[in-house]
Amino acid sequence: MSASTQSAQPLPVKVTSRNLPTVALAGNPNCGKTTLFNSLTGAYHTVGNYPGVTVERRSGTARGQGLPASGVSLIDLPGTYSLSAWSPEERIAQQELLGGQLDAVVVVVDSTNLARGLQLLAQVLLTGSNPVLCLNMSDEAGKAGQRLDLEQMRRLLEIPVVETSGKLDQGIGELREAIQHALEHPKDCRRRVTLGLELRDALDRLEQHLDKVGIRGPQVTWMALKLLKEDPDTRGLLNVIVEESDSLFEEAAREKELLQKGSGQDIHLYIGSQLSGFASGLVREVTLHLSREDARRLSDTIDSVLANKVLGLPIFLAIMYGIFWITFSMGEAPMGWIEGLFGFMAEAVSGLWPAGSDSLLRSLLVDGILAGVGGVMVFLPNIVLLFAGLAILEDTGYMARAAFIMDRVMHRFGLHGQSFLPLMTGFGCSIPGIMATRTLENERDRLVTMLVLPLMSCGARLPIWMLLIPAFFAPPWRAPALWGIYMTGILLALVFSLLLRRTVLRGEEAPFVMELPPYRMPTLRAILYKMYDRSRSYVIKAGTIILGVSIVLWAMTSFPGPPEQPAETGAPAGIVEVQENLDAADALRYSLAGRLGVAMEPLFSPLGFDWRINTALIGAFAAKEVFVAQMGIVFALGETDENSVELSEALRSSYSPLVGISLMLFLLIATPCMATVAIMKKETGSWKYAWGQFIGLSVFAWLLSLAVFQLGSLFL
Amino acid sequence: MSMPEQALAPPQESLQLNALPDGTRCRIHTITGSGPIRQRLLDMGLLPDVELQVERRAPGGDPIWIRLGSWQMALRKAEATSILVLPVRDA
Ligand SMILES: Nc1nc2c(ncn2[C@@H]2O[C@H](COP(=O)(O)OP(=O)(O)OP(=O)(O)O)[C@@H](O)[C@H]2O)c(=O)[nH]1
Ligand SMILES: [Mg+2]
Repeated sequence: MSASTQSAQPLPVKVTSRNLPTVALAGNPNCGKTTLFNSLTGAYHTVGNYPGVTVERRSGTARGQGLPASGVSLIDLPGTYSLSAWSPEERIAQQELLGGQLDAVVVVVDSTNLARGLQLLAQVLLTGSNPVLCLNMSDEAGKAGQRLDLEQMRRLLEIPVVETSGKLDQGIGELREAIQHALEHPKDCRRRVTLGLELRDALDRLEQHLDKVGIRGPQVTWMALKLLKEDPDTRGLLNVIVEESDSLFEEAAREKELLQKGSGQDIHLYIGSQLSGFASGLVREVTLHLSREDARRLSDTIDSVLANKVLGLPIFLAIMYGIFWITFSMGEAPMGWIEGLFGFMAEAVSGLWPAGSDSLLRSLLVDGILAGVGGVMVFLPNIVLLFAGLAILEDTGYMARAAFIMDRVMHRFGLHGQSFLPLMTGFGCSIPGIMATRTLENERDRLVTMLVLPLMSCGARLPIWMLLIPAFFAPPWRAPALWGIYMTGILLALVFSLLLRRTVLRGEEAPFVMELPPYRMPTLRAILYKMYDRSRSYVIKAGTIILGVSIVLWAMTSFPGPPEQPAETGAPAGIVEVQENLDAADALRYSLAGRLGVAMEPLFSPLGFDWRINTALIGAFAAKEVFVAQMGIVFALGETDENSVELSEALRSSYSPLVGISLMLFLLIATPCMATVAIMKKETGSWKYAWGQFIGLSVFAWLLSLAVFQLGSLFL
Repeated sequence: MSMPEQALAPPQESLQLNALPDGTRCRIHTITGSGPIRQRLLDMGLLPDVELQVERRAPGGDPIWIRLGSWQMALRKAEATSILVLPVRDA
């Protein structure tokens, strides 16, 4: 620590209109910001062991011992390696950190990767922010044998420094106190960053120049640095606010030449080396004990198998297959319990009316609500299992390996490995998947990924597969069929992205660089929470949207009732029953939904769908699960005998397996749900892509199902 | 951009990273190229004198997996060509 001689200057107290002080968490991707944010605010935002989990700015209120009683407004940001923009998600972090609205910035550093984190600290210090340094992952660093002299670090930097473990919830109290301390004693630490004398002098001269044209404040050092790098954004800004900006740029260019001559490096390399020199110098001065070389041996051994050149791909496919197999086989028993529960409820409710009563209320409760909501609820165990599997992949760090392994394949189809992570997120739900494309720095890649993302079979479509697959496939083929439908989605996504890249979204290759975090043991709590969170939103969805739509669909399927027919008398009992079933079917066709379904027949009959399926397709646009609910309602209303058959059996007897396959393909591809259309509009900024995607996928789905059903009918 | 001479003439033995076989240890000499991807590599800490090791390649030979001290990353061959390295001889 040589070049910095001036002591840190306290900033003038900021007068703000906000009530709460605002503090942001900044740091490299995957260093544990969100884990700490959750600890401090009690929130439950998604955490995962790969870079790029958080893609939006999120705020919450941190309270607790050490902080003011009214709390502190805490902001969680996407991870970033530097303050120069790369991807849309990093831009969000950089805008916040350079926006000048923060009362303090907690720079979170992964202690096992200290030097790189401190390079970001150097940049944050140079912006004149009021910093707190948080050395997270201290448990891992400690286990590897690393010991740091925190006192020395505090002396050198003159800022609050704390060690934490977000995972073990350690050091959170100290972190709160450090935040409070920083808020009470704000500091400008620009001078704490040790830089070469030449660079420091150059910056000083540029700052003076900026001062002359009226630009002052803690951000001038950063601005001077950006001028040296000839950053177009900074120059654009200065062009607007300063009259003689040209002389400023000339001055900067002169300084730049001088630095390049002196160092023998171009300016970017030179500044990078200066910042990393500060970071590694600091690490040297505070390290009491280095971490052992072999600390990551286990992680490496696992990778030598899982990321193996030959084994990697088959293992990935096998892992995915394993997840679907578990989703099927382990879900069966609890599914039976839920089915039993709803069956019991249906009987109990029916029992309130005399046998054979055609009470409307009974029909609403039993054929509408219990059949619709119950039909969806039955698949809760499968949802939970699928999400447990995905959570384990996310939290162990395997996801990043999968992206590495799949990069080559993705490359062939005009995408790259980085796109693979949002696609995998899309298996959960398309909405976060589409948002996760913010990690892609190339606009075209991002668009292509978003456009094909609904082809990833989301969680809402799982109930559909769980209903249709047992109806049309023999038990040994069920897990492979489920795996097959997901793989079909991936395959189609790849083919579509190739088409898009070859036609409307042509462009050069985007670079692929991605950090690979070490494997981490997922905590049971984190996995259970993800399962719980998913089940909760599933149940809430079943109790709100599905319930509402079920009632509407029930009404549409019940009204208007058929005109009164003269009662027939004298027929034998068996014939009466057949006749009643026929009457019920006629009544359904007469209803509003039935008429709609019949009206759609010219469009969908060539695909093998009948009017009952058509009515269910309408609701699936609102939410995919509604398909299952409506099938439940149609078949519940359509049968009159007391002991109702299981829905999948009813389907089996009504449709051929070929219809099943045609239907599954159609549901996989067609009509992304309402929420997807909305998020596409939001993320792309235009309805063009949102509806383009909707129409394009639907038309393709129709053509594909048509081809499959028509060709299949020829051969079968 | 007028470049100082040293940077234009790398020492004889400097190689492009993608040319190294798995398992090789090396030291970064410089990062060539320009634009955002170069800045990205610099921001991630790929700077002169940093030591790294080529760990493995993905199925199909691309991307390359490298270790830089305590952390690891993957990058494609195309990006690796802009990283000039000097092999480190094990003592
Ligand atoms: N061992 C250990 N693991 C941690 C600690 N803090 C976080 N993790 C784990 O590190 C991974 C990343 O945590 P996140 O909180 O998602 O990291 P982040 O900085 O928000 O990541 P991005 O949003 O991707 O930038 C997760 O698997 C966490 O469980 C810690 O102190 N010790
Ligand atoms: Mg996060």
